[in-house]
Amino acid sequence: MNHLSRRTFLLAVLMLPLLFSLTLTGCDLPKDPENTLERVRGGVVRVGVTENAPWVRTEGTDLAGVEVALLRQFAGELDAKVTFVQGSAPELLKALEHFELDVVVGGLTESSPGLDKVAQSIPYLTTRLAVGVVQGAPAFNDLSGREVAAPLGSETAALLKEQGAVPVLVRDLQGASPPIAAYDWQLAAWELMPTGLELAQEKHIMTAPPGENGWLVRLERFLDARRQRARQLLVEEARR
Amino acid sequence: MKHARTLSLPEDVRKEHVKAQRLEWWTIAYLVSAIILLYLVLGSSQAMKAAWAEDIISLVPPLAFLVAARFYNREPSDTFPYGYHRAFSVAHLCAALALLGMGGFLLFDSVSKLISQEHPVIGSIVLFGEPVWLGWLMLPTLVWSGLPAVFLGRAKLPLARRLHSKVLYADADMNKADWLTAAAAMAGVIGIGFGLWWADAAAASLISLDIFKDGVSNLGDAVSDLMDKRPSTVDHKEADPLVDRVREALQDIPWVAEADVRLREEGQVYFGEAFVVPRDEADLIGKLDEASQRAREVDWRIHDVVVTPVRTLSTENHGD
Repeated sequence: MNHLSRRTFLLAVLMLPLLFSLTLTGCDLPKDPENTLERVRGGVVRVGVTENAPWVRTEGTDLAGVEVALLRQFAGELDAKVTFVQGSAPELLKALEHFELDVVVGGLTESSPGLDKVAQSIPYLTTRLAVGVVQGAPAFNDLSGREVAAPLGSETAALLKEQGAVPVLVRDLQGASPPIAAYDWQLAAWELMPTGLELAQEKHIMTAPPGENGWLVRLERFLDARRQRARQLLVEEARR
Repeated sequence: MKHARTLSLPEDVRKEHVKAQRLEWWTIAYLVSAIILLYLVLGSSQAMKAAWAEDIISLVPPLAFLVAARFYNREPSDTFPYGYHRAFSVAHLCAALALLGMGGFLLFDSVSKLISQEHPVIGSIVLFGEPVWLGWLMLPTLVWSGLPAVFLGRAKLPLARRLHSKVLYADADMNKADWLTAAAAMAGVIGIGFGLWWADAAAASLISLDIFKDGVSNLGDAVSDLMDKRPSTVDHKEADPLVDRVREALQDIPWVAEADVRLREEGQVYFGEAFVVPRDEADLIGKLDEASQRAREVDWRIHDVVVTPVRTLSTENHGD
């Protein structure tokens, strides 16, 4: 080896103990520039919620819903009190961006607008928008020309039109006559059979302040371990 | 028009050329692997983005070299009577512009992120059912994007010198410095790990500055070559002593009283004129042939030198 390649070899070898020691301290990494995780542990977690059943809903003066329940459990794990702040998604996300909130939820998905300045968690739940029919009814695998019930003023109607179906717009989806286009958990609750015709998929996430990576990773670990629980909560909500 | 001489490389040079092309294909394959891996673990890290972009731009010099290598030894034609040697100079220019453009853009991007105090988000990725911090995946990926490049660059440098290929030299030089990019990006990611949000954009700014600087110096070199600057060594640092050797070879010929040359680089080879003052004019054509031969024998790179007899070497105008 000439002296130059020996230097590179040494450099590579030097990197190893560095990486090794990093792995040891690594249980602590990553840290938060604004110390969110440290502050929340044993303290208060400020949660921004935007009303969006079944993820977040008001029950009199109380808050309930899938994500509310999950976050209460998360706070419990961190030995923290929860302060809920209600508002619209854009307002809450702005506050989150400026570190005035610690988490913002409300049925947000990967494709929700306005998420570019905050941190998105890994998706913890995927819901599917599908067409359901009465149990035992003949299945079909083509939507062209079919009449399908869809909520008034929803993206669902547009998605149906894209596939050639004819949306029948209703205010109360539950009372409409099948076939109905709704989420998998709604179809399950209303005892309708999904036809396998999927209109869209939504990956649900929670949001955290930008750059608070330690906090984000801790939240993601919690969400990853509670996927089953999330689905359970969703089914319970659907049964209301 | 009369065509210039057909290029015929000595056997050992030709073999080195084939070897160089093979190494460039390996370089491309390796870079593509690094680009894919880096893309998978990019996250929102500016430093990772800079390292990724640098690897993409690093594809241009080897691609340019391989494209030029297809052309350079074609027979000169009626449309291109001097041949296609300049293809390498064009390749060098393209590579330089790519570096300059990418470096400039990245520098602007990274510095504006520093100024706007953007805190980069690096979350988890689910690996084998467990959430893992993406930063832990970024580090080994960066090592892969930096270390093999150094060895590839090392292998190509001596080839570039022997082939007098400036494109290959610039490419190899940049590969060798790739470990700096990887180290800077790793420092950026580790900085974020410790909560230093600015470490990422700072590392990215350094990397882009380095790319930009490479672009500027390569652009200067490529442009001066295209403007027929006096021939220089492959690293563009010194005047090529080959010019003097040709002049001396001509002056050594017995019937030559005085001689001088004017050479320019076309890709790897030299074209030019030699001016000789013969002691007598007997068998002038034979003498000129001999002089031409002697000039070419100095080095394989001396490709097409037109020897012209003159009364005197002084540059005074005698009227046009």
